[in-house]
Amino acid sequence: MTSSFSRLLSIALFALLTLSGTVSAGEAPRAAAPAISLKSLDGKPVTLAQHKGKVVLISFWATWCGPCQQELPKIQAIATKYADKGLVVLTVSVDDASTVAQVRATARKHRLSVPVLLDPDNTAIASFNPRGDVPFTVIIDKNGNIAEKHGGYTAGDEANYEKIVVGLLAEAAK
Amino acid sequence: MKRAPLLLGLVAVTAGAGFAASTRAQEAAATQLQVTSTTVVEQHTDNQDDATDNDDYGIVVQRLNLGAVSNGLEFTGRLDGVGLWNEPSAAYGSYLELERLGVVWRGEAVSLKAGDDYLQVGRGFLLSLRKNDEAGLDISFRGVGVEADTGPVHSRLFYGRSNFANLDALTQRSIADVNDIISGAVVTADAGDFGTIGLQTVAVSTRIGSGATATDGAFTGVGATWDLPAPTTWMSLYAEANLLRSESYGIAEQHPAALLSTNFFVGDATLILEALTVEGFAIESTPQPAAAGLGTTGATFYYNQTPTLERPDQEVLNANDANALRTRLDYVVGDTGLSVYANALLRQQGQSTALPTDQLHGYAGWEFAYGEGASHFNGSVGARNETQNGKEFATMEHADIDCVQALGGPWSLHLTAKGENWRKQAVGATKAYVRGNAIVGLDLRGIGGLAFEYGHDDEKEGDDRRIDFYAGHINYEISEAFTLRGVGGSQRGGLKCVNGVCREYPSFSGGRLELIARF
Repeated sequence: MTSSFSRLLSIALFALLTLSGTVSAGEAPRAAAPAISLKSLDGKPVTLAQHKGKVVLISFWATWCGPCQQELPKIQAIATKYADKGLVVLTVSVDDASTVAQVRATARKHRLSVPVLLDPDNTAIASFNPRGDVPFTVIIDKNGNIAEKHGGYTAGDEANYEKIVVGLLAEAAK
Repeated sequence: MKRAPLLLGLVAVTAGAGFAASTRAQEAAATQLQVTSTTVVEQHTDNQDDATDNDDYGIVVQRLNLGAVSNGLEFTGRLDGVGLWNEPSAAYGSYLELERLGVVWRGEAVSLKAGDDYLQVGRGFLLSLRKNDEAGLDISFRGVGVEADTGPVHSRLFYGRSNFANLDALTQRSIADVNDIISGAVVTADAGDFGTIGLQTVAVSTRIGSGATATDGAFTGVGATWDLPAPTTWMSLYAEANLLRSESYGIAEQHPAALLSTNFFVGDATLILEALTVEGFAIESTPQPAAAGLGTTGATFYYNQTPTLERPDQEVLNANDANALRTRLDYVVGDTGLSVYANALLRQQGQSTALPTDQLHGYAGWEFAYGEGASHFNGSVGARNETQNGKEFATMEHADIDCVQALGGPWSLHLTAKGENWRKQAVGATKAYVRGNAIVGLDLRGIGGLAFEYGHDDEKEGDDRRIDFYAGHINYEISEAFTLRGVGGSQRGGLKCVNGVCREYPSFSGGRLELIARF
């Protein structure tokens, strides 16, 4: 077996096995959400543990990220619509020192009333999304388990978030 | 090490994680794993950049991230594997390594951490260890740490060493672990209406220089921060001052740095005013071995990242020696979906060198969202002027647009383009060049998209040098957990700057497939 052929075979085997693992993993229970403890734009400490027993939607974003700017108003709209049904929405800026000064202006531009948390060393996003790409949305059920993770944003994705939130709120109400 | 067994090893480990995630369903009270797997396969052809040490090779990069929460403990780990074929030089290396491993225990008021973590102190002047994908760098802190919350006081202690991800993502060459010792402490106190006051200190031990003349180096920094996020409804403030002592070859030097950042809010307008001074404020790592191909004497990397007050994508000549003033005005035009902004920056850099550079940079732009936010049209234009000793050194005009147009149903069209027109003074002549790129694509929500990219860079010309670049992109969401991305063709390299971290990276020519699995 030539070395090139063995490499290609290895890669093909990997792809096949990962696919298999992924497909069957889809039926597995939800993973527990890691803890996060960050400060809000207003200087207040906010932790995920404070919202134990509630459905939580977390949106990771950055001021320099175009799709994030498109998604944020949709996240705010979901927060407004389901706040009185017990949904907690947290937005987390992953801006570092060079762009963090613009976080407040961005939050005001989108008229965000949800908490805006700061994750300057990106440890919080790394715990949910080691790739660190933004925007990244996580939805957590009332038991503190991750029900949904979604990277990127295309117009209309919010309809899927809303569908999941409605389902989880119904679970929580039982 | 033979490559085939290495790659088979990667396959076995990754597949094992995949099956572990799937079989856990059958286990009662099992620890649930979060798995993120990224596999990249690239074949490089001749990228026509006059260099022969980055052509005609292949690389497989497998990055497997695992996370779990169990009985109050949080575990994270990352296994990286790199396999190469036809590698151009010894600067490239195959390996399989447990790149990151960490555990956190959280109690009521105390958290204990061991292993790898990213870490920033204040606004990064004294320490900024983070993943910077765009700059191709990933440096974590590997050690132990304790955090305590006792009422209004939050404190953090840490001791360990630097841990480099051993693949330079931009050049794909090997980065060695230099194991510099890093320690520090941060204490912040909630002072009620006076905001949060903090004290911080960091110490880093390195080696300076290389070979027979290398010597121990030491960096010790202390600083204070004041964060007043909402003293009134119309302003916020952040201030930080630091002093760094660097010592090598028996010589000690002091370096100051300070930042004042304020926001003012009046109706729909937000005004940012910032002032910065940094004087030789750099905490450098032990140099990489020369064989790494990152420089003739071995490149160093910075463990801190001083704010630049510049746009993140801008070329910054000197981020560690500068004085700067910046103002930015943002204004939201009612509920029209339109917001506009204007920014001005005055920056003097290298002021302690023989050739300080004065820079004036102004830019303005708009963001317009319409169609209930499904579409947007954003853009900006700007101009930069740099002088050295009163003589014009460089001028640049730049422009960019970012458009998304919803087409109905799940379809949308996107177009992004950015360009820079430079004129730089070289010896006896003016060098004029243009660089930029444009991407146009069609997206189908829930399925993926196709895009075409054009790039141009005529800064360095030559008979065998490519100045126009063409690439096709595909993005396919196979399932909720599985995404496939591909690119084929050529993409421009050159100088890439991310928040003051500027690196030269080679252009790409060939094909790349990326498989992302999240479950």
